[in-house]
Amino acid sequence: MQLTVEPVLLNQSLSNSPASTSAWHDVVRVCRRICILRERGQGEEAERLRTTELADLIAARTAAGDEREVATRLEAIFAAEEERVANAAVVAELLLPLLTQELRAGFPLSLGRGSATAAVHSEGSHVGASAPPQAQAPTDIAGFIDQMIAQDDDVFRRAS
Amino acid sequence: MSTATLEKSPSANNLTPISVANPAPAAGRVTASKTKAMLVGFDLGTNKSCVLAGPPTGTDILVSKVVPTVVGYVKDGIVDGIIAGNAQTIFGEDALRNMLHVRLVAPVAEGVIIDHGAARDFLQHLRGLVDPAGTSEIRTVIGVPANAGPQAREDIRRCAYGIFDRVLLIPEPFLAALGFRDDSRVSQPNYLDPVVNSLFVDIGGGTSDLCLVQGCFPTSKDQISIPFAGDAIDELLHQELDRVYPNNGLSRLKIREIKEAHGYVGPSRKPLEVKVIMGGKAHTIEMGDTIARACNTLIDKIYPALTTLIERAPSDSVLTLLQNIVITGGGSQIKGIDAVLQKKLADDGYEAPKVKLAGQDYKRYVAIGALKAARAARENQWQVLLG
Repeated sequence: MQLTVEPVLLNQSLSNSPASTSAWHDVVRVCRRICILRERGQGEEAERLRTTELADLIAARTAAGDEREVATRLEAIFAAEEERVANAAVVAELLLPLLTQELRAGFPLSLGRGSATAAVHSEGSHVGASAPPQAQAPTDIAGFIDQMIAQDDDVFRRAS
Repeated sequence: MSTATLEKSPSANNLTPISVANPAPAAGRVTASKTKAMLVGFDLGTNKSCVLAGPPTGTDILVSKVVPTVVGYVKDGIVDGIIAGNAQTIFGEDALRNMLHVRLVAPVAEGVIIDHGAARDFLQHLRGLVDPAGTSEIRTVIGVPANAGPQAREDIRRCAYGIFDRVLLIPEPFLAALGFRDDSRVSQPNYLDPVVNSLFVDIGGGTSDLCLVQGCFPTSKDQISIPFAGDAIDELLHQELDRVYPNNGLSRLKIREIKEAHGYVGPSRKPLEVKVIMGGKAHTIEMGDTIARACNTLIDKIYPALTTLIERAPSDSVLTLLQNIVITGGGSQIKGIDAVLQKKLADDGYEAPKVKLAGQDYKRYVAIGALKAARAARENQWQVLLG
């Protein structure tokens, strides 16, 4: 998920020159990417980022200031970003099904059901998302198809 | 059937997900030039496929084809003129007729796609049969085996992408029931509507699919798919013939012909003499026991599934259900299969069972049902393949 909030810089006692502020912004961004990768279970990629890009940025910061203060600030940044990403993940989990339904209801394209070839129902709404797989007997073929789609959605929800 | 002239496109075997931002050449994409809509009911079978097509409204069927599900890629070095139009890829009967000159590929096994490139070529060929000018928007309902999992469905969608404009995948046994239904008699009080209460046994090449249809769309519990059908019988026949007549040289197609001509279930029928050519010489061999053993294995496989589904039916529906057990697919042509199943049910105490054969249109019922579904589907029920 792409976060768009501005990074919060902690411990402003360190150099507040524009160049320094920009450099700490870079640190915050890299820390955030690391936290997102960890949240997605991409630990190896997160570690690679930590030992390369972040290490380079921290080395530059350490060269320009007190090593202990840099470490403290880095720890605070990580704590803030971890919390932010965790909160975002919860929000995403809550919003995703609602957005999926909304998109189905009012937009021709819905989400791709995790499929490599995304297959989406075309337009308007169908009874699917919240309808039980075995509702009342349909009176026409389209009603059967509605039931089939509801069953498919149910299987998809359980799998995801 | 006309000879196809489609060549294998470079992307035909490309299995990587197709990008939405960079769509494949737009054979099936809706464009301003597509002024006409055509609906297709499609039964993608292991051995034979059926395609029916017609306009969105009415009941007209403009295209009706049963095509062996096979693609022939012409071998290198074939002299010009051997293959009609010097085509590089041919399909169905054409491919079988020219089997010496082509590499035959069966895109489907046990009801699921096993060769994506060949399957895409085959679907492209079928689209060409339906819409030779390539100017129509084509929407198709495709039958899938009762137990087709997400991957099998995904494979079909992947192959259909860029060929058909919109698709809908529906389990085959349900489509068979829909196709078998006589719409003109639905309102008659004595008509046993197969969509309201029936048990369909669809015996194809790769799978035997059984399905309870009781007025609601069947759930997974209402369907059983068994990976034993026509091809498995052929395999048993082949094994037995190889044992008795080593190096007989009989092809699988010949074995299938023998089964289709002489297949039966029940007690052994003798004499059952079959004339075959082995090593260029005609032989007459007794096949009564061999055919009985192979075909009766089908009964052994499907009967437990049949009784399982009967027992799953609500008790107040089961008496009517027992009157409406329908066998369709190529397996319905095995002599005596209806009588043997009915007798087994009666012998096991089921109340006055009646097993019937779908009839001469057995190859087309799934596609008929698919076309009916296509005509009835609402706009929002069609799936758009995004790649």
